[in-house]
Amino acid sequence: MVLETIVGHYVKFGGTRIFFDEIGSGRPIVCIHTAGANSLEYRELLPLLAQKGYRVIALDLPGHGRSYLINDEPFREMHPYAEFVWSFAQEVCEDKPIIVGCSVGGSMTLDIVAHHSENIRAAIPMEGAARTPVFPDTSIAEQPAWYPGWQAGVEIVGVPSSANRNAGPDLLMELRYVHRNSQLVMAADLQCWSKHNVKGKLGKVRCPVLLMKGEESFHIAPELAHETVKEIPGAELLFLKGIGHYPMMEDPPRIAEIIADFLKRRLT
Amino acid sequence: MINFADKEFISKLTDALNKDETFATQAKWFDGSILLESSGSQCWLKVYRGKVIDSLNYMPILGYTCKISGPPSAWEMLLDGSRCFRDLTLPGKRHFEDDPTLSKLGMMTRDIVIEGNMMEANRIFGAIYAISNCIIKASK
Repeated sequence: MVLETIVGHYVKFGGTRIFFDEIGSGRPIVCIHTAGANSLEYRELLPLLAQKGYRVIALDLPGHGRSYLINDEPFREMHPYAEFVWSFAQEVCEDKPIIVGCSVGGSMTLDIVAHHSENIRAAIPMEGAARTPVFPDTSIAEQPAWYPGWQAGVEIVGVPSSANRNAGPDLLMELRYVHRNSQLVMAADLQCWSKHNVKGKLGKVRCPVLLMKGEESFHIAPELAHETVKEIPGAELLFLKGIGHYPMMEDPPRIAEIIADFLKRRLT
Repeated sequence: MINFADKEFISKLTDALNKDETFATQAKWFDGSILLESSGSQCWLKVYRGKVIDSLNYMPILGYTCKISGPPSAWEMLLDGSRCFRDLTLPGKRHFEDDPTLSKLGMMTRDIVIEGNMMEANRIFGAIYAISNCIIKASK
């Protein structure tokens, strides 16, 4: 028997019970998953970053994976959602955290740095932007009976077509599995994504920021990525060749190297 | 330019669909018709339990269960691989090559539209995706 060294925990916090995976020791990195998914999206990246000397944490957002909702209601606005995750990060990290997030998690990372950069060591949003009103309002699709076919749409069309065009069947199947949460939370996540807007609030960010965008992802227009980075003092923008909307799953070793290099260069 | 009414194209599309395992599985419990349309050219497919059992190069008076339509330029983007089917059918403006000031941000545009009985269309989401793949194959 070979036990994996990633350890799962629960923390009772903020009126609910939050699950998170953890591995390694050193400066803490908190990883935030994509809409309607869970912390398993980071299962390969976690040990790679731990090997580079970090304590890496990936949480299941409320209502996702093994974390419960708060009073049975999801977040439908990005800022309170981001504030919840920021409070979680403070709860589980004794040191200033590094925040990593993808898609909704990427935009959430930018909301967090817009409000708390003085207490953040660095931020690495992937596939997020200062504003992402590039998706329809999904409030009309929260209930399965309101929108039959949602889950099929997510699993068969939405997620696979968002990965890079050479993604293999194993990755596509894993992407399907990690997106099997309730329709309610994914529809709510996408409402947060659509309404998210911290443009004009990033000019005073004081921590290093690296924005990564998959070249093969259509979700974030390059123009939005450029606009975001332009506003943040000293921020870097990296376009990832051959990568779609899920960088940490599509090429974990490459993403680990990029993150470690960025942190080494910018955190001296 | 794609011509859905071309009989050779319809024959190749029907053949590709009837060999496609994903289409067979996803449309296993479907009984209806799908109209493909581009700038007036039409292809009507009668689908029953995972197979295309009839086709026409025009829409019959029976109408359709659901229609997938778009301008020639949108179908061209699907065929040349510059955009995927989901990108073309998902409402939401995500391309700004023509709009450097991002003035159209938030607009709910879409290039290829799925219409008709959406309850049925959503039941065969996977089959519609398979149709898009087979359109690409049949057009080569």
